[in-house]
Amino acid sequence: MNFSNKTAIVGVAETEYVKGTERTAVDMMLAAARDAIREAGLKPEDVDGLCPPPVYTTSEEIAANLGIPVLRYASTVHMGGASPTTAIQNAATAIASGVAETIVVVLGWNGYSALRPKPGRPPSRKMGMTTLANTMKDFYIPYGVMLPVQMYAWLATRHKEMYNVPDEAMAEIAIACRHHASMNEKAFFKDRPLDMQGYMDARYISEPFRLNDCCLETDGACAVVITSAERAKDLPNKPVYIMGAAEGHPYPADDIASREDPFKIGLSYAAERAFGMAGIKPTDVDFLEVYDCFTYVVLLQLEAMGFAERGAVYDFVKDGNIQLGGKYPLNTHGGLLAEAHCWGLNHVVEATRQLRGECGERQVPNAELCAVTGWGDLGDGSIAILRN
Amino acid sequence: MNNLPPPKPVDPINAEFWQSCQDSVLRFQRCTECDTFRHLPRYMCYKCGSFDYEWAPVSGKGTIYSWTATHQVFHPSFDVPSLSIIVDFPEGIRMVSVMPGVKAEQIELGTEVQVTFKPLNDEFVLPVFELAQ
Repeated sequence: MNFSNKTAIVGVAETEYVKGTERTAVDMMLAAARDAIREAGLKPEDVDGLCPPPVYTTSEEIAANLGIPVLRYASTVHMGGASPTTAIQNAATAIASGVAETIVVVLGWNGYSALRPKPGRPPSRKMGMTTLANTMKDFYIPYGVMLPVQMYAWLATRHKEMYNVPDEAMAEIAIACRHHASMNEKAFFKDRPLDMQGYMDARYISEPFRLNDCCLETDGACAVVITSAERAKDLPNKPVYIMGAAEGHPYPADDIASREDPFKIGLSYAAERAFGMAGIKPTDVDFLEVYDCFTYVVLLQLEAMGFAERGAVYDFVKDGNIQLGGKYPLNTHGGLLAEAHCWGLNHVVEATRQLRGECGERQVPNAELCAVTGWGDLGDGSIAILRN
Repeated sequence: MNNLPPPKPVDPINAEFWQSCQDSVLRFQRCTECDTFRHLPRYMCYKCGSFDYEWAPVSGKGTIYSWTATHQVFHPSFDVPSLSIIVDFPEGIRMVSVMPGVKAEQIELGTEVQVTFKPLNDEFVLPVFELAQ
């Protein structure tokens, strides 16, 4: 079944993005979901499907709180940061096939506060993410490798050494995101400009990643409402149609060390299918929202989508090409690096607002086509091609 | 070098990997049907589908496939900078480890390395790597 253009995003919302909150992840997700449903001109009882994250909550809990009496579709994706964008695909397939009509994709977490519990106030719930837990616990953590910044640094080191990629390529991602954040009231780093010297002068976290190669850790939630193209016509917002979507997984997905080609990532498999379904070439897009937990992860994804040959990505990202005013503005909200870390569902929210023409100072002129990507769990990938 | 506690896998085949090298010989799973080595430990052979395997000793010589020098302290018992590596073995497998006392400037892609064993306590040795002699 081809679900191209049969569904549309009709509502989006987010909480504020902060470092430190008393609110739980569930609390924030419910607020975002309620507001997105209202923004779509709908009521909770109009919703019959939910795609919550693989952490902190369940569809049943969200349905009980929001007041969704008839739940026809409840699906949770286990792909780490790639989960929300894959959930866009799942929602589109479910709606296009008639399983459900209106689905809410929601994501929220205490990305800052859960790691820094206040004395005497332990987190009310654990994150509960089990994917990859055995690989990391049994084979990486014994060597002190306990965080994504270290594991993705292995990918970055191999790639930059193989293809002689300069640190400036990474810097271009960080600088573009920070520049775009300066035009976004919601961005956590709205008032924190970054230039090349500032990038190079920052300390190393795990080589080749310096401080500004690493995304924010924030608390917050966002939500997206998807319905049939038919129903979208009668709703208040300009529909943003899902032209194509796909997920992909590297092999083996649960061990970053043993892949035959470490740069054949999930998106390498997914991008061709998604663009094929959409009937467009990657270069047809007007802007890009690319999952940016670390700068180098963006570079790898740009190559996987075909914007540059293997190892040649610096030529694509330099000279302002990925900044507003350039040919392919990237992460126009600031991304995970400078707006907030909401597992990339904030990228979908931004793409939707851009395609509606609501982005003011940071609006991409004549924005019609966008690719949004997700990345997670050691290189799982997802992509959605959106149009207005 | 990190001073983290020894791994304590819940999963039996993961536990077997660490047990298999406690006599300071590095061993990996090898399928007894088709002789294919594998790592991480798996229940079955991805080549032939067999569930039969042995823990086969290897020379412990390999080459640097990638690395990162970590400077940020992520754990109180974790000394920095720490050089964590991916080792590429001629048996067709790779593993994650560290090179205690070695700096990133001393290695490049393809640098030859050799396993050595670091006692973490009286009962456990951790396979780590040094520059090949």
